[in-house]
Formats: sequence, structure tokens, C-alpha cells
Amino acid sequence: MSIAQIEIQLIAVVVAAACALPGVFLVLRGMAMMSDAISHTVLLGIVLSYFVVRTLDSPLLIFGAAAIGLLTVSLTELLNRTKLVKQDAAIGLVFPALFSIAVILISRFARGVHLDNDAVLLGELAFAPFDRISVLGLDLPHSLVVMAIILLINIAFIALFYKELKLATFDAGLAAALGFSPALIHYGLMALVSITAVGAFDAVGSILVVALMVTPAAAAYLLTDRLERMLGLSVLIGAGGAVGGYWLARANDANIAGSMATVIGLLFLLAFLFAPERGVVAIARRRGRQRWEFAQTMLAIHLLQHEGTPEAAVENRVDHLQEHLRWEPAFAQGVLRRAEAQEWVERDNGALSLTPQGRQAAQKALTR
Amino acid sequence: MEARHHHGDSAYAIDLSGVSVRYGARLALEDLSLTVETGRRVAVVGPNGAGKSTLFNLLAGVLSTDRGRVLIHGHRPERHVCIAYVTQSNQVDWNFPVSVRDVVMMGRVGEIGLLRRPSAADRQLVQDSLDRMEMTHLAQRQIGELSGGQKQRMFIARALAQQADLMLLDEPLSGLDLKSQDKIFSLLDTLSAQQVTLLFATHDLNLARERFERILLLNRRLVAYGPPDQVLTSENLAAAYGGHMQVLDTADGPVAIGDMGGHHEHGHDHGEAHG
Repeated sequence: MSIAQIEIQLIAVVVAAACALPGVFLVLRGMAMMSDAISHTVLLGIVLSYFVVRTLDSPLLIFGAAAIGLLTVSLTELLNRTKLVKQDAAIGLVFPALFSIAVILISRFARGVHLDNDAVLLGELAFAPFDRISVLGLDLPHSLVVMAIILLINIAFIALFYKELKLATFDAGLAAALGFSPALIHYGLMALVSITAVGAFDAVGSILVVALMVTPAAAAYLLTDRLERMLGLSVLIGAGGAVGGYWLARANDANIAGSMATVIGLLFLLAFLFAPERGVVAIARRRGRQRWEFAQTMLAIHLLQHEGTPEAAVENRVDHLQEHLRWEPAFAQGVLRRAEAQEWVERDNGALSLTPQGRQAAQKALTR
Repeated sequence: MEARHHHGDSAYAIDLSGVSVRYGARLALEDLSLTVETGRRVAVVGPNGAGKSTLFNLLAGVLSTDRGRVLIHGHRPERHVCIAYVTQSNQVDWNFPVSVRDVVMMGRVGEIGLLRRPSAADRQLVQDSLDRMEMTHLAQRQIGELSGGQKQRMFIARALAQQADLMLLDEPLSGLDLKSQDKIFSLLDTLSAQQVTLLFATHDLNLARERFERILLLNRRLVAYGPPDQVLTSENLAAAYGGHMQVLDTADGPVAIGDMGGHHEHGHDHGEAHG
């Protein structure tokens, strides 16, 4: 691997990790689409700041973008609070408005600047190593330095305010009652989302920022039930997708950001299907198991009710089950096989009887 | 710990005067004046939309008044770590990735303070609270795996860990069987003995009559506050419930019929508070 290749992968990993961290809280707060809005409207912040400083390298751009990000959030909330517009519609109204202002400004006044539409939408990671900066005597890619700083800010914010973030996300009422303003925590988080979106913008473009924020968190959500692990897993999934995406892009001679989002999406699909507890397969298997267990319990109760009565000779027979319990013959045989395997039921020439174990199970089910 | 000690200056746990809260054009609470002595056990009753959840949000410092004054132990409610709020179960994201122990620890966040981690004393308090609610064996469970009664016990454990002097319980018994209800009441007895003030919102007038020393009857305005036999009169119930409820006079006193369930509507007035 060449130095440039390593650098590109490093940038990709840092971008993915920086996006994954605030993404976890967005997903848990049910605000995933807010990242979509912010990642677009920060463009207006960049354009407006550019008109002031006339360069695309100033840190002022990040502050300007973060300010517009927060403006997006507060405009959305303002609209939503009128109760004339719902939350999702409010997002859908605010962000295209701000984004279109930015697009018009670029096309009218900033033509020829690096802010072209392809770069805005898709980003170009492959060129990242050409733009270099010297830090502490080290010659490093500009976007690596910027994203590393943003990653550190995200880590620091989440580490310092971890218990408050967790509390305010889970129970805003208690947070307010304890004196931690949920609004302040909310805007702090949105500021993180904004600066992360600006930083990631250059590397991956505004659309794929959303994929890097939401997808790893959504996958991690399916894999664990602890917040700490969800944060760690999101970063791992994001980083894995970044490296995997780079090599996928190389193999296909394709856009790196798009390939990264694709690999992260595939990782999500894997979690969606095969997550141990919450995946589609696990749920289907659990449902199936419950169906058999329920049927088996019904069988035991049926046998218990007729046990020792005169009609037992008729009721407690294999061929009667399909009539009385309306079971298909194959299903009845399946239930019986399971009940026998678990030693709940004994079969003697077509006549069924409960074992002590089966009797106990039936009685327990009835008293529950 | 300090928050627990500067309470000496007021005999009242709750002191409201002329309090009004408005959601848009609708008045949720109107001109409410009330004092509750420290250590009282109060049932808060009234029809759906009477402002029970609004009152709790106000006392917890989640909502602020449009008019009037709220004092908790002589202080304004914000930043008052001594107030614990057990919310209605349907307001909670039960899929949230936290364990029972995590949630109980949240009760300590106010005392721990910014930029600090839980101390050994905090962890011990959380453990003691779990022990008291017989939940230690469930401490590592994800909260969605709990039964209805266990969920309520978890929030009460959190209130215990908070070492609250004022506990607000918003319909904590909805959906619980009698055994779980009894467990919760025996704990409330212990808390009452420790001079913890308890406000308990419920739709069940008989429960209010049998288990509480004071009843607060609310319908946007204060209808009555006092001992059960003075509050649950035909006139008061008719004033609070109006046409929604029939009041029958029986040998045991007046009994109100109708409008007893309907938790969803009650949740609705809470929801509007947050928009």
C-alpha cells in the first residue's frame, strides 16, 4: 500500500468514527432525519462565511456552518411548536429552503470556486491527500487534521457529559427536574452534528454524511442493549465500512464515499437479518418456537381436562386432536412428537396420557 | 447531600399560590392555591384532562407557570434534586439500551454533578435502592424485559436512589396486579414514616379513600383538598366530574361511577406540555 492509500483509509476511518458518535444519540432520540437536514443546510453556513473571509480554508467556515446547523434545528422547532406543522414536515420545509438559498448563492456569486455541486453532493476522498497542511512539523492531509480534531471534540463532549446525555435522551423530564436543561444538551448535540457534517462534507459529501451518522448507529442498536457498547459498536461498524468501502471502490474504480456507504449499509443489513436477539431471523425463530410451545401446552391442558373422565378414551386420542383442537394432521403429529420428546405425553396405541411432568406443566399454565 | 439539609425554613413541602398554566389557548390549571405539609400522603384525583400531569410537571420544574408562584420546601422547583418523578409507563422508550441499574443510577445524576463519575457511595445507594425494591436479581436486565410491576418498581427504586423528599407518582399502579400494588403500598408506608411527601395521581377513588390521608380533587381548578371524607362528597364529585360521572350516595359515603379508565386521554395532556 502506498502512503496515499493509507492516508485515504485513515481519513475515511476518522470521518466514519466522528459521524458514528453523535449518530447514536440522533437515532435514540428519533431524530435521524435531522442529520439529513443539517448536513444540507451547513452549506449555507459555508457559503455565507466564504463571502466574509473569501477563502475555503478558514476555521470560520466551521463556526458559520455550525451556526446555520443550529438555526435549522431552532427553525424546525419553531415551526413545529405552532402545531400547524408536524415535526417531519417542519424538517422538510426548513432544510430545502436554506439549502436552496445556498445553491442559488453558489451558482450566482461563487462560480468557479471549489464549491461545485458534485463535490457538495458526493465529495471526493481520492483527492484528499493532495491538500496538505503542516502540523507540529508533520506534513499531513488537511482533511485528516480537521476530522481528527472534530473526532476529538465529539469524544470529549460525549465523555464529559455522558451521564447527562444518557439521562436527557432517555428521560428529558427527569433531566429537567434535576436542573439539566434538556434544550441545552439538545443544542450541544446538534452543534456536534453540525460541525461533524461540515468536516465530513469535504470528504464524503452532504448526502453520505447521513449514511455515516445513521446507519452504524441503527445497526449497533440491533446488536446490543447497552449504550456504551452501542457507541463502541457504531464506531467499529463505521470504521469497518470505511476500510471495506475503500477497497470496494478500488476494485470497481468507483466513488469511495458511495462505496463506504454501501458497505456500511450491507453491515446494517447483516445486523437487521442476523442480530442475535432482534434480527429478523431471531424473531422468526422465536415466534416459531412460541407457536410450538403454545400448541404443546394446549395439548397438555386438553389431556388434563379429560384425564380420568369417562370420555377420556375418546378425547385423548391422536385422531381426535385434529377434530377437537382443529389442528391439521401434520401439525398435530409435530406437536405430539415434541411433547413426547420432552416427556410430557406418552402414546399407547393411539391413546394419549400425560406424564407427571406434563401434568405439572398443564397445571402451571392454568394457574398462571 | 446538601440539598437535603436546607429545608428547615418551611413547614410546607408544597406551597402554591395563584398558579395558572396555559397550553396555547387552553388553560390546563387555573388559579391553583394549595399548601401540603411535609410528610403527607396525598391522592391526586380528577377527570381526564383535569391537569394532574400538568401539576406534576409544574412541581418537578419541567413546566413553568404562566402566573402564580410554586415553592417546594420554600424554594423554587428548578434544580431541586429532592423531587422524584415516577412518570407514566407509556411515556418511556422501553427499547432504550440501558439496564435497570443504569436507570436507577440516573436518580443520582443530579447529586453527582457535572463532569464527575459516580462514587462508591452513589453505587452503594443504587444497590440499596435495588435491594429495597427486590430488584437486585434484575439489575443487569435491559429495561424492556421487565414486567409491568417490575417497571414501576424500577422507577420507584430510582426515586429512592434520588433520596427524594417529595415523590410524584403519576398513576403508578396502572396495569399492576393486586400483589404488586400491595408491595408498592408497603414501601410507600416506609417512605411516609421517613417524612417523605407523596403525591399519587390515580383514577381510582376507592383506592384514594382507603389508602391516603389527604385527597386533592382537581378539575383545572382546585375543587377540594383535605381528608377523604371531607373531599369525597357528592357536591365536590359533581363539581369535579360534572356530567362525566354519576355520583351515588351509599352507606359508605358517595360513590362515583364512570370515567374511570381512559389513561390514554390523561397521557394526552402530558404530551401537549412538550408540544
